[in-house]
Amino acid sequence: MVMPELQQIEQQGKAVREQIDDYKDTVFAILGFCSLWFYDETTRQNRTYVKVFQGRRLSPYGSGEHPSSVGSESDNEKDITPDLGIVVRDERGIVGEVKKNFPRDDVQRSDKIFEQLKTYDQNLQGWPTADESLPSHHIVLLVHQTTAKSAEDYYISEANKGTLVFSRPFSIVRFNRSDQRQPYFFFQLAHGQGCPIEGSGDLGHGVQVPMQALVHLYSECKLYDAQPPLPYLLHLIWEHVITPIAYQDPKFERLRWNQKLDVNVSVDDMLKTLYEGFSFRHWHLKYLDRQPEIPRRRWILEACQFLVSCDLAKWVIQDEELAVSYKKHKDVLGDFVQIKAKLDAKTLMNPSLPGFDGGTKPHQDPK
Amino acid sequence: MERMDFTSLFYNQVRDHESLVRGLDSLLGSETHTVTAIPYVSDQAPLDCFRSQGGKRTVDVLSTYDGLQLFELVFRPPEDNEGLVKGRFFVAKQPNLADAYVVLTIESVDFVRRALLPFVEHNKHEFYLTFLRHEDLRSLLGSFRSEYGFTDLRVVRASLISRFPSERGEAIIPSLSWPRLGLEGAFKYANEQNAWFRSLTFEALRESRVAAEVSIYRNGVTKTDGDFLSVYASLVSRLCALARSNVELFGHRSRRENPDLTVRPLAIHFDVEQFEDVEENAKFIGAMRKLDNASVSVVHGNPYISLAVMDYSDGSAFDIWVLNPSEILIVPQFRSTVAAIKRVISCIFENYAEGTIRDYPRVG
Repeated sequence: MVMPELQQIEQQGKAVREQIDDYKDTVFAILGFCSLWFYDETTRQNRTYVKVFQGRRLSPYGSGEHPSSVGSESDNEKDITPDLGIVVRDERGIVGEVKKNFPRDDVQRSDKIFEQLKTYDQNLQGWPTADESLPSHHIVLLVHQTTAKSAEDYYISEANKGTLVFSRPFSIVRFNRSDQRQPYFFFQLAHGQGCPIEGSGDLGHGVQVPMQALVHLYSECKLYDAQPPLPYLLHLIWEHVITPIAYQDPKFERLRWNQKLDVNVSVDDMLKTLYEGFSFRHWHLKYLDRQPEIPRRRWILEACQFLVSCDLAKWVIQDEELAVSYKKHKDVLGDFVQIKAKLDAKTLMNPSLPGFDGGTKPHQDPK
Repeated sequence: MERMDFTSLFYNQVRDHESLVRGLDSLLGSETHTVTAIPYVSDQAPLDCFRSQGGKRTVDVLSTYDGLQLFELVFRPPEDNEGLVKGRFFVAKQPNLADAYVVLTIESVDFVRRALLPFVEHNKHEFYLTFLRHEDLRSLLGSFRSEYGFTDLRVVRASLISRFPSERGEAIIPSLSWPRLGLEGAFKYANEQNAWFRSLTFEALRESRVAAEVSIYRNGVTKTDGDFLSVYASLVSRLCALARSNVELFGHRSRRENPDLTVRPLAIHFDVEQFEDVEENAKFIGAMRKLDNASVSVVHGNPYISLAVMDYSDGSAFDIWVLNPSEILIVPQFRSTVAAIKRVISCIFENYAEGTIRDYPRVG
């Protein structure tokens, strides 16, 4: 039976909201997990001997190879970009991947995740240390509590078969957002040897990180190196890039809710503002060389194209400059969620044949 | 015998801040006038703030002294059959208080209401007026009463905002009342009504004699028809200091003004666990949606709150979080003006609940 259109839109809207929530939770998980190392609760200071990074490009090299032989300048297809990285006293490292929704009963996707983790199980060059190398590192998979069992079962089963062996310490850490009166993120070792955290916390018993303690960080780091849901990205662009440009126009002050204003904005401006304002740039100020530029140009172009396809903008110079038909929204994020939900619902109700897709595709898994 | 024109004498004798204050006190003792004081803070000099910018209101400088200017403001009503609304006002720099000023006028209510206050409102980017919390008002008036030996302050007119249970949860309703109660009684009355004051008019009593009728508004505007020295020293000067401390607390919060674009959040702290009941989330979000000329987006609404607020008045943007039952966090983003922070906080105080504003420092 075909679902009525309104119901379909509502369902798609909920799905988009969930994607946004997942994206935010992943960012909070990265911030919270790393804070277990870099933040000292006793002194209420950051530990100067701990370095953290997000999305850094690390280059694997063979055991017989010299680290310098892998180079550092350009992207190599074998390079890895873990969701999080931690270096303690320039001696030991941790690389981690956050998969909020580890697949259940989906061997193909599970294989893919562990294949990715296996690529971390190599000598790695490019750490933020003097010679860019470390004698050892630990590998962590962070999964949401509800899917941790699936990750653990998969790993144990493959390990028992001998098809999945890590030569470096490997752990699965479960996390969840506890919606108590003071919400916090909870991290607990689900499987593996554990990687001792700094200070008095014990990952085995579980550690809480109040969300309130992460507000400063989150307000500055909203985008990690996975594509955010389109309405969320558009909301950031609209509020922090397009509106400030529109505000410069003398007509802005008297612009009524139903009126429009032409605003020209360049893709480079969007990239620059979001990179400066919402990437993990602050973590990498002293070791920027191997850090990707977040947001990716491709994400911004997709967001712009979305505006174009919804008749909210036109390209002035294709993929370079956009003329936005600006209006004041009473709920910027809500409106973009609604627009996206309508389009997704329409696509679902009127599927087109492959190769005949003229519209915008629903949001894909970000990584 | 010809009656002495004290008003002309007053305008002729004022030369500085002190002679202005003493002159107004003396004038109220001799003639029937009401002085309106508008305390404000601005990083611009009065000659720059009070200048004609086209439109229906024109301003001229009549006299300039050290730390004091006399202006004339003319308002041309849109209807031709209405006469011009015209009046004079002083702007006095507050001694020892950077960027703090007070506008003082003895002109009519009509001039203040139709010409002067709209001029300030229209140029709101240049003037920062304070806001008085209910509790601040109580303590300010308590000090005023005790410092100047008033027997009591009898509240004769009050504008209140009350929270009432309604079919759709809770309603915030403004109302007027004429309680004719003493200071303690009036605040007790407000408490019983689950209400807070927006403005008060009270009689300052010395025994049974009314020494002055004073009105005080949430934005710091104060009026009195007597005892000007005490009103000025105890109320107006303190309101200037309050406006100044607000500006210090709210200033330089935008990320563009901070090294490496770091955030500098503020917290509104409640003495009670305001968000203990999850139903409060919807009330708070509803209150924020009343923010005029703004976008309010709910990024997360339950059980914690994360809002994105964009103020179209001046392009300021904020993230607002509730992650603790007794605190609201306001995180200014790239652009955040003092006026926009005040608007957000006023919206919370007017439509939801009042708390104490603090810096929310970064740890680590």
